[in-house]
Amino acid sequence: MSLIKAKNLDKTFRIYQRGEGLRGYLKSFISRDFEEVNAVGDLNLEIDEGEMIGYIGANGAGKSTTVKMLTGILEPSSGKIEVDGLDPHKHRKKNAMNIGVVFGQKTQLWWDLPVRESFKLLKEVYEVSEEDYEARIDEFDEVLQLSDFWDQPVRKLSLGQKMRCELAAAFLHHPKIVYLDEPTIGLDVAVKERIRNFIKKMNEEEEITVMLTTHDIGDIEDLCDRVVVLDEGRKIYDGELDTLVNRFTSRRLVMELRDGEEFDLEMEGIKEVKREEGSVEVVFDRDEVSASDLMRKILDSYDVLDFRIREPDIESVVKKVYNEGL
Amino acid sequence: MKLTRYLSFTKVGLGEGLQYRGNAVAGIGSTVISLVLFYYVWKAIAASGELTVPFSTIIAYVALARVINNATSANIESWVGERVRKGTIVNELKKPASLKLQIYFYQIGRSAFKMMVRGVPAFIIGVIFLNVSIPGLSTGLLFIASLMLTLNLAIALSYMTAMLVFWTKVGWSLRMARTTLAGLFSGAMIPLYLIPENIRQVFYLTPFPSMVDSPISIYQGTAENVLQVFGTQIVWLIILLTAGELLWRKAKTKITVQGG
Repeated sequence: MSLIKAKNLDKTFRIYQRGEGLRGYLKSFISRDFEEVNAVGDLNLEIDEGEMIGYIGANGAGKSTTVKMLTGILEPSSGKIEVDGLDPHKHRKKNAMNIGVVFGQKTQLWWDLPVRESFKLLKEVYEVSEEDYEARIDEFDEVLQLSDFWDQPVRKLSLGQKMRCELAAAFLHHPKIVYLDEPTIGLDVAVKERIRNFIKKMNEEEEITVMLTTHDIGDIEDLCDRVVVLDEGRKIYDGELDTLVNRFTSRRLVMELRDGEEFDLEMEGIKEVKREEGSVEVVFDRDEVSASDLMRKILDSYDVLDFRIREPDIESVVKKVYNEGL
Repeated sequence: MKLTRYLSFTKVGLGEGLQYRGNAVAGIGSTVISLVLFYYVWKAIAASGELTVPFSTIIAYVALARVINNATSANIESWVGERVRKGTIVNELKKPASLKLQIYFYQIGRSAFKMMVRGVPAFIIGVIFLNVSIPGLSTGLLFIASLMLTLNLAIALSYMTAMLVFWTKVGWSLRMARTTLAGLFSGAMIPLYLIPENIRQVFYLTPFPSMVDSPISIYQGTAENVLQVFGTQIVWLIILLTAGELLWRKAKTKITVQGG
């Protein structure tokens, strides 16, 4: 049984055109032309309970729009969404009880008040009992170390501290699903690590379903087995991360040959040879030749001093997907 | 709807005001300045000899109008406007609480703060310097009841115009329009009994007199029919709340959230 089901989801916005310069502004002030922009088109998505999925795509691909529809904030132009049996837009409040949401660039904390006040409000709004609240905050404190700045006004917190609060806020009321829209944006490595550990813990211990949009490949590698790639509002990939990587990258063999030796091997499966000072990089297709066969052949004919296989780097995969599509 | 859930928004609204001591000081300062200003303007008008009502009555009305205006001013247009413009309204919309009630209860907290730092000082100055009499118990209680209705009217009106932000995307211009109209028509600037009869009748067709003139007429005992004053306030409250709700329902399907 899928916890989240979206069928033929479509969202079209009207974007009003503005003319150029003062004259153009005046003209568009009087009569406005608009263009319809299809932010999300014909999206089908099913997410099971306890899954952690990465939702990736370039800026403007429609990721946030999808999250806003799934959380019930935006009404789809057409299509159907069911989240735990509820239509999230029609039953926005009821659905909101079951979910937690972090919009990474839009803090929900009350700017001028001490951190604890924002949490007290959430405790009331989500009807979390006193004991549960205490226990929960203690538990979160261990991983996120909130007590360091618990009594400080939010405006004095660093970005990383604010984000730790946002994460805690999203998981406070034991939601079934948590949507994280760019939760690690702009954070340093240590804070990212802490936040990822926290998300992992929540998912493992409480089977909270997590949908994560991010531009940070580290997030995906660390947390998600399944990725959905969105491009211009359309889903272009939905499946295992490894499969995506294999489909998109060739393996690379980097080696160092004894002085003066020229690498001139030609063999099926070798796609490219790059010669750099002191090393040779061989790009090969794993479907045509295995790494061991290639290695054997090379060792037979050349005097190799050192070698390594370079692992595919997911960032470059994603870049490729963004730039070229599938 | 569980009250405690929404009262936490009131606490936040009140707490925000109390965070800055400077805020409170500035509130008291601006109250004093505006009262001094009003005093001299009306004194000058009185000196011209055109007034049919004694100066002392007028200045008491003007002082009470400041008290009411200060204590009940709401600015939901800017609150919603900023959130719509920056897209942070998603944080209100993701909560299991109605947007309307979040705004309402938050605004009550803000108003409680304003009542303390801007309403009460204006009242004290009015009593000491501006001929505002201390009312009897029953008049006092009736005035407070009417003031509470005014508070709700102010919130309902500001909420209604704030809903237009979903179309205009900007809050301040809507607020300017509302406060300008309200300032003139409500009695906040000029005591309504000084307005020529036929024009005044037009004013009374709007909700604005219910927001300043009505509680003052109860306070000063000039209301001919107290029940009618309350009745009118309640009718306008119902009308404004309904209009706000209808606009919200229309806005809801139009919401676009700005930014990624």
